[in-house]
Amino acid sequence: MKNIIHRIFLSFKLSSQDTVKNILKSLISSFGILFLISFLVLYVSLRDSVKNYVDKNIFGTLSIDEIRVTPKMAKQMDIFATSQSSSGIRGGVVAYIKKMPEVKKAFTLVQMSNKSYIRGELMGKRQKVFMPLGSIENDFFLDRDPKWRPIYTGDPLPLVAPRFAIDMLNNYLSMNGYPIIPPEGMSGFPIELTVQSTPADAPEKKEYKYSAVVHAVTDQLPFMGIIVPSDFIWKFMRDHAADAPEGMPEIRYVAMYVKVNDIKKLPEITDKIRALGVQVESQQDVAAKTNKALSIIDGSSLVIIGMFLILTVISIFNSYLTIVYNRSQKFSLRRVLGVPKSKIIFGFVCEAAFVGMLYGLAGYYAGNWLLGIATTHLVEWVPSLKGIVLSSSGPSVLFIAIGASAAISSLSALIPAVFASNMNLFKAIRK
Amino acid sequence: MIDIQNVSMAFGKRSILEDVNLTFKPGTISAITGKSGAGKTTLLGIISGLLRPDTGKVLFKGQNILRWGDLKRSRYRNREIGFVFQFFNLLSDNTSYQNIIYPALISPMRGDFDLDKEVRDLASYLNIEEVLHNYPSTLSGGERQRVAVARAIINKPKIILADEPTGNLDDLSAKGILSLFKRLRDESDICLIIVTHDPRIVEFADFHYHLHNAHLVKMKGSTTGTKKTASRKPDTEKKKTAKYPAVKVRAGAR
Repeated sequence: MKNIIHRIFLSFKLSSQDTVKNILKSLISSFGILFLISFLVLYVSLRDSVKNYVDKNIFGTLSIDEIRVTPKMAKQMDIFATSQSSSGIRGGVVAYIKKMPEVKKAFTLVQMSNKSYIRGELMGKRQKVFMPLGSIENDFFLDRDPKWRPIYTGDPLPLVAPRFAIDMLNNYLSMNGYPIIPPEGMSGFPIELTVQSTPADAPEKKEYKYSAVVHAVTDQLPFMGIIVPSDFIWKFMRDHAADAPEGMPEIRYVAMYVKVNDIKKLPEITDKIRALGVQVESQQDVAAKTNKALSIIDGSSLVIIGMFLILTVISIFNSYLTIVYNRSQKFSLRRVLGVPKSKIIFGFVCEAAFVGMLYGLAGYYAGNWLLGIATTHLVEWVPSLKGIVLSSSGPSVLFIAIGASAAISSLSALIPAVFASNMNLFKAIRK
Repeated sequence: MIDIQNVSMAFGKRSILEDVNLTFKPGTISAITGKSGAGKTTLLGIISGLLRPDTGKVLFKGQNILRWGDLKRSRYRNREIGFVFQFFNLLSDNTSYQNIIYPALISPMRGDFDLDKEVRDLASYLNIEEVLHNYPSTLSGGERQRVAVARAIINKPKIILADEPTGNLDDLSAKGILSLFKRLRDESDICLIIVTHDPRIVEFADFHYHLHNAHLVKMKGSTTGTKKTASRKPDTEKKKTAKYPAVKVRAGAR
């Protein structure tokens, strides 16, 4: 056994030494992959940057694959209205949209029609502000911010405050010569929440007080109220149903955020939802324009990548053919001495794959280096792209770069490897 | 040991071998001569399973090697055949030691034997101990050919195929290789098949075949099998005088 292990070790050592020497010689043959992978990294980063730019700056709070649904004829401010006459989206429509096969996810923003106030102490003064209560699924925030901490009913009750409220507060502080509070500084701010279980004009008002705390500040919802956990609203309504007169709408679906499966079908899905009698902030034009822009980026990049790919494959193929010719004596000798064809092909392809992986790694870093240069000079080159922030690609692109490079290199070397395993052995040995 | 039956082969319209029938016995040296391009090396290629004839059979231990797949034929070449070439064909990037062990490492799992000791014994037997860690480019022709012979017999093959083994050696080195072949024949049951133009090999070979116009003509040797020449020691004495005892140890182990 000891002898066998020793021989396996020797075999590994010998083939490793041989492979290292061959790889060093083969490195120059696959140089073209470096350009291919660098460009691929540049392309992926550029595409991501453009998409992010569109996401953040053109669609506003909507993701590129998202639609906002509001009640028909609702004006923007209707969402914030407290009027009990304002109707929301019908429950049937909400259920239908949620079940549509084209819909990946649907979030519903609901609003209590009950009157509610918040009361907090600021600069030694207690302030009482009317503030409607709404809720939306935790996943809505999680989709936008993976670090989001979900909110659930508890004591104190966690609240999500609208960004505009913080801006207004900061204006007030600034006017009075106080330092402003950054949004993250609001976290943990104690508030007293009062919710009325009867309509505003009811003769006998019933109010319930809750101690609450600011959980986070959001600018993701154009909702001029406070977001509370969904289970709080539903529980409150259930617990105090007897307080409200029969037939009074208690909860309204004021908006839906619908994510679609296929962004290319966005206009089609928008039309379908609109036909349900609701207003859809389709972003169709923007989506179409974005699609067009991305198509141009994709198309032109794919043409360039394709050209690089063809040139690289031809170059590697030729180089490996030359390597096969130069090493024909070695290959033939190995075959003569008893190395099977499959082992010759496997060894050669593995060698090429390893070289490809090295270039994949180098190409990834070269691409990011070029990206750094582009980031610095992009505004000088194309002033209209001022808003686009080029960010370096992450580890997933590194794995793609290494994998793609190894695959291209080994596939390009496959045919030369088959030649190597099939050559006229005695003729090669007699060279 | 190896039977060639009705083997014919042509390259295009040119017939290289026609209805060749031949049997090689253990412990013999067979010399094959013929003009350049007569088909001598092609015959070696067919025996080793590297070339497929158009018709005929090549039987090794009763099995037709031409029916085997590449893996089995590769294993047959690795374990049963040793090759010696005119131009030595050593791996230039490897030392003599690494060249010698190379065939043994193709199937490293085979047999529990001490490879290092085998190489040392072989090197002592072939008088190349001093050059074991030298690269081929620093060796003389004779030393290179002895390293090649060591590589050929490291796996204890049944057959050695030698293609013009003295063709690239000076007279002294050639004589050394010839005496080495004689010793191998006398001290083991290896069957040596040598393609050559060297009359000295023909002289000491047990059998001599000449390829002419694609036909094999027997020039020397009995038709009944092994020729025991006067110079050869009897089998009992072989074991006593063997300077390379590992040959027998390994042959038993396989």
